[in-house]
Amino acid sequence: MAQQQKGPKKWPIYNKKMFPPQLPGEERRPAYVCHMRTNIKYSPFKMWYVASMIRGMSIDEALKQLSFVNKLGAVHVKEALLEAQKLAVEKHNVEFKSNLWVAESFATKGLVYKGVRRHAKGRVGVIHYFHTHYFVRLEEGTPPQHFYFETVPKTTKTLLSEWVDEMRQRRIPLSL
Amino acid sequence: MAGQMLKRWADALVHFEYVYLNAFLRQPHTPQWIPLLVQPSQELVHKNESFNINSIFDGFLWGVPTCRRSAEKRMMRKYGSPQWHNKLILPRKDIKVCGTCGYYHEEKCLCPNCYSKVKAETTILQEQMIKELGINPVEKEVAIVYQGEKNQFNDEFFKDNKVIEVEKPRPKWFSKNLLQKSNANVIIETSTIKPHDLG
Repeated sequence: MAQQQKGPKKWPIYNKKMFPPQLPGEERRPAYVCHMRTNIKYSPFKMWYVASMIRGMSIDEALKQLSFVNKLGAVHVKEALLEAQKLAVEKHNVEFKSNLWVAESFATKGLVYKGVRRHAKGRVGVIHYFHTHYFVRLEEGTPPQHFYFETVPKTTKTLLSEWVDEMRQRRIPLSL
Repeated sequence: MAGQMLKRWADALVHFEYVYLNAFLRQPHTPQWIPLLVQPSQELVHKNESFNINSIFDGFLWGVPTCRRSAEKRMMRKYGSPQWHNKLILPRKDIKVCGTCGYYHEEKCLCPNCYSKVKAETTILQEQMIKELGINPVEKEVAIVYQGEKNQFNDEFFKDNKVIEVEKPRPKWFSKNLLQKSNANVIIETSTIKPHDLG
């Protein structure tokens, strides 16, 4: 089918990007690998949860966590990560396969086949059979302490100010 | 089915007429040629009612949303909330490494990798037991003897127990001590040791 040949093509092109030689004092640019898996028979809306979980994790931690996620998408994401790790070591000059972290991880809508279902009183409904493309970029090095802002532990100053705001928001109902 | 559709369209048209035409044209229901002998009562005079948009749903459009879902509702459905029901998949903190094989497993469970080996060995032993014992009742204790261990036991052992010989070497992880009975019937002789070399 002609539709099977369609799909994202630009993501792996990032792997071929040539950077200019680095200056002597410049910080070493970390190696990265962009990998994707196209047209997975899974809903992109469900894949989002799996993809967003592993963002900012080290590759070992991500693989460990994915082994214990009860979702079909987790299997595909884990396989994609292992493929990307292999590519990184073999083709992208990464020395240690554990020295990688998930810099980018996201899923988009792929092929959508439409089907028909029956409803009561002769009415007809449309079913969507979704496919998803999964993209991942692994970067060499240690992952950042907090990838998501929400995981940053709040200081006592912020906690206190939040508590004070909550107290001040209180209102007596039916008051003047 | 076609009859039902026609009936529905007919009902809708009647209702359309009632809702829109009478609301805007404000014509009374009585035919024009009958003279109005009685002054129309207050009920027949239509008050200045503002047109409610939701009245179009009265019997015309069913099973459709009437209000737009707010951003808060949409976010709550998609992401949940830590206080209510968290839809995000959080990383688990109860994953341990097995000391024997190095594989990961949940804290509450046994290591599946190690257990699969134990299970495989158990099925082999069970098959051997079924082959030798069949459906006969077992009166003696069943003892499993692996390859090369037969010489370790005396004749009494073979008399007291129903020995099942397995044609394979003992696995490294299957220690003999696993089948040792508890010492409930064993009398342990204790002797009091008096303190000596005091002062």
